[in-house]
Amino acid sequence: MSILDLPVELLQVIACYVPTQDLLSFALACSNFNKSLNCPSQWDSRIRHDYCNEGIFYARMILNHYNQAHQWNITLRQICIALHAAWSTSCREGTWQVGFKQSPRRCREHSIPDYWVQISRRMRVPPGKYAVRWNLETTEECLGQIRFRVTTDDDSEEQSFKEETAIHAHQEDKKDDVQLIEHATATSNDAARRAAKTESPVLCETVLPRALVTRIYEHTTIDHQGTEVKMGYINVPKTDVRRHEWRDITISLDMQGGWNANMKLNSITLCPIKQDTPIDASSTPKIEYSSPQLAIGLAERCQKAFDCFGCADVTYDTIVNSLKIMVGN
Amino acid sequence: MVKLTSSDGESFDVEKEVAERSVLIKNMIEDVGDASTEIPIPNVTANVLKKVLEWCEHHKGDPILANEDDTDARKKSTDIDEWDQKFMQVDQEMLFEIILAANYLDIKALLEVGCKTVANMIKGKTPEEIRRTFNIQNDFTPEEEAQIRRENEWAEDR
Repeated sequence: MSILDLPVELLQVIACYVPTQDLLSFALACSNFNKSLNCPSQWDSRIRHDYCNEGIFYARMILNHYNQAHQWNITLRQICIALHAAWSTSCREGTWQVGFKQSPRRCREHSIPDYWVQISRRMRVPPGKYAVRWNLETTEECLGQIRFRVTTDDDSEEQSFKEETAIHAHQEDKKDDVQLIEHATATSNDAARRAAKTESPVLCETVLPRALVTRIYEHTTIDHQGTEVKMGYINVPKTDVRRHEWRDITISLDMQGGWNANMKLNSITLCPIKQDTPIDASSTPKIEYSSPQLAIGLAERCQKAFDCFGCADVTYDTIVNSLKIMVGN
Repeated sequence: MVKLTSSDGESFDVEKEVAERSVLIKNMIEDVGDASTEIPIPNVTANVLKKVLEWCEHHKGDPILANEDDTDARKKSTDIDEWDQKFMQVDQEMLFEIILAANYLDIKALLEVGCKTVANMIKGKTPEEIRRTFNIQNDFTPEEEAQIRRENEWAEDR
């Protein structure tokens, strides 16, 4: 007995468990496998799994729009592909607001002004596990403090609940005394409630800037491509709320230290771990400051996806407008 | 006890609780109204039924999976219990027979384990490796293959 002796219904069940990134290989293995993917409920399920109920809502909205307004026969399979392309892009291209301040204080013996960089970005994301990385380009020798924070406002609870994990890299008087201190604090005063939770609303595992601090301590010049540091992982768990599963999260990074005009933050990326795809640092995009840039980038990717389906005349503005809703811009 | 008879005529005496892991058998017992009646299982051979009953015996205390919607049914393909992983270490023919039997007997949890096991055999492989794994032929024309690649370009372009 061979796998091809299984009825197509069972091949469809098997296909449901094949990860999204393996679907191309699965489809290309043989025609029976490819046919097993032509099952709307399977794609509905996959969208619901990857993008939750809100993803389904957006998918159906786009589906209705294209199929009714433009008389196209776009399927859920194609929408899933477009959603995937859009979400992959949205995770790689951040629209991070960067505020840069130069405080009036000066370091003790060096008499150089402090810098304070505060980057913050609010995103609406489906539940899942994400890797957060940032790319810093600097020749800074006197890094004071780095503070990485992920917060979420959980409006499903009675009171606003925020949690943060902060990581500090301190440099004491002696350079040998570089210390890493990590702690988690809750800005909510309901610590007992937080302790009782089995899973934090947002969890940042601290894989931090140990490598960066070491390099700074050793006076290593960081090359012009910058250095990419894994900040860690955040986990946005599923909630019991059925209709609003995507969460508003804010990722912020505060850096303080001696001022160096050459310092530049290239990017912060947020990528779903479930894709299992390593990020190519060389292709890390420059930081973008305006949300229209994000929507345009997504639209280009989606248009590419739609082009594959022979829908080359999809209006560009329509895609941009759809995606603005999807990414919350 | 319940007496089950395989397609090749072999009889198995099993606890009612074990047999009722199968929704099909459970319904048949209810319909007959007499658990001592011999129940034929015409689509499952003795060696496969024996294996299925081994799984049912191990999981007899587990809650029966309800008719879930697709959302709940679709979980991570690697999420297989250790005992079930060992249980599924069989040759491919037996694996597919178990899947077919689980589907016929309506044992959702066993069907899920079987399908996850096959999905894990696919995970991370190239099309050629998948073909080799399952001993199947590439039956696409070059044009069809190119079309599928185009339609799924997103999966590689990341």
